[in-house]
Amino acid sequence: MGLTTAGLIFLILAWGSVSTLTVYCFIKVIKSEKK
Amino acid sequence: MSQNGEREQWGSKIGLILAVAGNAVGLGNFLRFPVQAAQNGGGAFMIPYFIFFLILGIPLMWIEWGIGRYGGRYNHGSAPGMFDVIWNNKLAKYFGTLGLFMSMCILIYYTYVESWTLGFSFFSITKLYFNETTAETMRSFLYSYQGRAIGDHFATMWPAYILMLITFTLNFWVLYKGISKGIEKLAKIALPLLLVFATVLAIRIMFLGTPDPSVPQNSVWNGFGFIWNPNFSLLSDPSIWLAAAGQIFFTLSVGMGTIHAYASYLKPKDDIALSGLTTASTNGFAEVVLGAAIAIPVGVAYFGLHATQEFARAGAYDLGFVSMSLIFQKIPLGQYLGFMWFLLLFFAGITSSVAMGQPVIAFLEDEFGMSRKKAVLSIALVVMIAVQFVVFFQRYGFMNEMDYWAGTFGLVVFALVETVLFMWVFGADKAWAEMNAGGDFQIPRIFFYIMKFVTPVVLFILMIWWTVQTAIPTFLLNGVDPANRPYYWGSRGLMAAIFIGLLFMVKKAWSNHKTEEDMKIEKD
Repeated sequence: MGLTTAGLIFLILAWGSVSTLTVYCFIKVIKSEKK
Repeated sequence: MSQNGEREQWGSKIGLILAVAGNAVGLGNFLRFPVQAAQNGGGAFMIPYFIFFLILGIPLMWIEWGIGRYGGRYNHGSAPGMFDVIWNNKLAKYFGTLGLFMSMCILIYYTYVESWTLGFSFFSITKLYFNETTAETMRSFLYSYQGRAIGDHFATMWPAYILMLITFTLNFWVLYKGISKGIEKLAKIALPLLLVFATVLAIRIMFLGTPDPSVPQNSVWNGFGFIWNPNFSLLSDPSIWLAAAGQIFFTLSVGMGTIHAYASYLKPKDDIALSGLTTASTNGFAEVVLGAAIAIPVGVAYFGLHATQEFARAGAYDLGFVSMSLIFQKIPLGQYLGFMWFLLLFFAGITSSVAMGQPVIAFLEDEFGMSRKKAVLSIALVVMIAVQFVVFFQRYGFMNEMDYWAGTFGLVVFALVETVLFMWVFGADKAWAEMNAGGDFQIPRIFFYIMKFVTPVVLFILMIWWTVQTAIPTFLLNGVDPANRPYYWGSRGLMAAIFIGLLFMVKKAWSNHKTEEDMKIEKD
């Protein structure tokens, strides 16, 4: 079976969006705490 | 309010976010999510998952943070007082009792489940189960430890009982230390460690490739394929959408009164918009990235797709304890990886269980003026008595019954009640202003309409669906061995006693408030 191209696209999209949102939020939190 | 008239505060914003994220990140992120994804369309499951993350998860987070901070302004750290200030009606506080009941009932059995993970981390590092090389003997080891079946491994339940006592003591010690010095400190240590352990495990598993080259289909990438390869044909099945809604609901630990309690210690102008979003995304990261990269891929790599599906169907405990314990015996340095796996589950558990203790402790502090010490000791006593039933009657289904009514069905009921109260009774405009006050960013306006219309409708559909699908059959004890039925009724009796006791205490607290107010008026 393996990881198909469609599966890989879903994995990258899911991991990418969640990771980006988390990192973005934490950067904003840290910045706001330094204010 | 508490005896000295002052409520505690969080030490830092990041500490609060880690505490709420710790509350949300639990066993479900690492065990329930990959199973749900795999069984409901793989990658295609992520389409409804992200849609419900946006229309159910994040809105409920903001609603609960909003209710909590608003209640805290009036010195209420639990749902009865919070509902009382958002709905000027004598019944409001009694609806809020659900927020005490749910968290307390879950705390009672969750502490015991949590202690298994502590036990298995110890058994991993000492290689105690390393001779159990088949699923049957490993399952027998687990059941023997839990006291569910007589086995050769544990002659008595004392090891499980002692570990439960240790877990119980740790939980209440953290709660006794308070918000900043206890819960926040724990979250600052446990959540980062949990994420580090999970990252190390996920990376190690990705590099396992095909452990046995003679069976090429048993590979980590086939495991990832099992979770992520999309099956779009399943998207037309409404049960897939409801499964995604249910997963979002469980994973964020909404609907149990814990987020409200934590948010009540915020100052009126502290941010909740960014904090709520950060906790939701952190939980999503732990689930979608880390949770999906461990148990299922490694299971497929070692046992193949079919056997992993069997473990998944048998439930989260089979997947987490039986399957993973077998795998750690096959991986180099498996004892250390096993230790990390079970310890990360323990950290995920304890950061959630202390959150479950907080609402009822806050209730005693804020509504009865008890000192934290007295409040913690009172709740510890009640939980200690109740947990005995869970430990000794678990094999008869006592815990499953509590988990269904308090830990599953009750959550959606409470979430629906709070959403309707906040967005419709308190008023959507006031609620919106409250959620945005002091915010580090302005919540996009579209969420106003989502919270007012979409979220309650989705919750209502979910509640009706679950009532028909599971609540009625569960209530009728369908499929339950007649010999075990008295224990199911015993479990219901315990829950009823807790609920009635809490209702009585709410009534008593408000009667005390009224007397105090009357005396104050007379004095003036």
